Amino acid sequence: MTMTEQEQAAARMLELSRRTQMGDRETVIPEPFPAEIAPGVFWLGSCLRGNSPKGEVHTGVWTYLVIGTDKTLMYETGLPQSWEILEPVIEQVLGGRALDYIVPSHPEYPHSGNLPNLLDKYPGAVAIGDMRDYPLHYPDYADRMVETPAGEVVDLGGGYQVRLLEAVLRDMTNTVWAYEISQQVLFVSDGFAYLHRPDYVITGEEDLDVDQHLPGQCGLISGVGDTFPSLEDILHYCSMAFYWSRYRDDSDRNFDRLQDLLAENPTRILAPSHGNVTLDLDRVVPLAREAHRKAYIRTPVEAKASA
Amino acid sequence: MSDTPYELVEGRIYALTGSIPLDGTASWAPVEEGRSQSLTCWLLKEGDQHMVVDTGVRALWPHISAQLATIVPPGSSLKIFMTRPEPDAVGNLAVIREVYSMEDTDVLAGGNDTPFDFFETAASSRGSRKSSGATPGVLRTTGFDLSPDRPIRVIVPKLRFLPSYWPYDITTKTLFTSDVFTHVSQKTGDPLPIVESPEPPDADEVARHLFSKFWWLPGATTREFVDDLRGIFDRLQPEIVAPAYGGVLKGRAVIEAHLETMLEVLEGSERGDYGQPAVLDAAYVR
Repeated sequence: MTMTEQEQAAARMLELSRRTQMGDRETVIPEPFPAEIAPGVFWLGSCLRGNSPKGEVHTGVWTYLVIGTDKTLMYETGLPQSWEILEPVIEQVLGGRALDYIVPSHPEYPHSGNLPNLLDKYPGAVAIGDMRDYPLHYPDYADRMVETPAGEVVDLGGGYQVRLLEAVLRDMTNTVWAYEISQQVLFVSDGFAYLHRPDYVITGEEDLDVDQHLPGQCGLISGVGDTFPSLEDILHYCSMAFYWSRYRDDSDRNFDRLQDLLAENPTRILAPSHGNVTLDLDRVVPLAREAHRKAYIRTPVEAKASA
Repeated sequence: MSDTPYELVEGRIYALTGSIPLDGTASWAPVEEGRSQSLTCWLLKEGDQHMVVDTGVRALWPHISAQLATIVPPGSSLKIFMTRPEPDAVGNLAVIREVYSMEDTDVLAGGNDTPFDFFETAASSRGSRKSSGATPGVLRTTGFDLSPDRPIRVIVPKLRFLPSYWPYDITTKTLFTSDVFTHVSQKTGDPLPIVESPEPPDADEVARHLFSKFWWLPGATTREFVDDLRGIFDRLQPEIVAPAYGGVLKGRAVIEAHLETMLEVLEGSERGDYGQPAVLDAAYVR
């Protein structure tokens, strides 16, 4: 069935309402969003798209909403330049309810930049987590920041409970991970991140049996269908965004610690802030461990010993 | 805190500065009872041209704006260079835009637009008003001239946390080191420290400040940082080191003494003198 001009115009309006333009970079809300990745747990956010000589590069900047029967909680705040397109999606998920808790994972702008917008929109909301730095950055809201230590559990009602955790993989020291107990969702901020790189632009000649995160797979769950990050995807992001990983040969130490954390917080769904949501932990955790190991820049002597 | 800027180089460089207590408020600094840390944006002036290196934390905006206004009246044109895409460096960009006359090409940073640096995201954070929806651009540069007699070059240090760029003011031989060389604190209530005595700093003090932010340095391979820092300082021979946090180092002998201690700390990191990062074991339970 062909669309009428009116239908086409309406579709275009909808499309435009999910995009912002910033020079030659735009932010777009991926088609599947908001995605309910578990009952009461929603995945939303926007994809920052830019160009490189090789093609389009995508960076997903995600945020998550947990809807309890009594309270609601948002992990991460999303890109500030996406606020206008993100706001209606947040409203849609909340369905007329207020937002009660905001957990910005750390003070970098892609993670906390919408804190003032959210605190203005939801006057009853408070920001929780490791609140060091935030009163310096957002002094007008200092009285709505509640220092909440790792291990503390926030009860949202209806069985939904979110435990704040130390971040095993991080850049800033005051990074916070979180775990929703009833649905077993682990929110890992910059951990397990990856993006679409231009050398993965579909040419029609790829071997689709090889794991790659391809254009068009923003917002799709990894491990379902053909979509899954490759070792190179995670390695690339890790060595760029976790600059320290080039200088620290401690992948095993960190991932042993992660295994301890997973044992204490049995996880069904891994929810990163840049890579796609992943269900297959048995596959992605060893992959990320290896990526972190490879990120370390070895001297020729170390490389020989390692081999 | 004073509403008069400190004149670091006569008629050419001013400190727009305030301080925070070292009581755990900031994650990037250690706790030191009774002591504070200066947070400074640097105003470069050349004739009627003005540029601010970083914009400071929002909590200090009343002081920064008052000090800035004494040199650059509101409504005047102003350029801004961002050393890092972090809120302590960029936090007042949006409110400065509301007060001063700025074109899109007046906001600068080093490097290239990559998916990892988020300078544009930082520049689009909101000011005192609701977001306008417009997203300003950030001009990437390796160097620029404030005037024909005032060239500024952008140094890309290997020792960094997030993407970092250090402007170097060739005329005044001033290197703006952003979040490195931040170890000179002050007794609470004292003004911005200016170190002019060539005594070496205490290595543990340097380490405490450096590792508060660069938590991953203990146990890391640091030889690249040592070689790179030595190369930068050998090449530039700066006479002033002006960080965004902490006191100023003034004079070649002073800078050499502090550089040597910094290099010792970095070498000690690789040797294991400082163990492994406590942060991975203790998280943010302090």
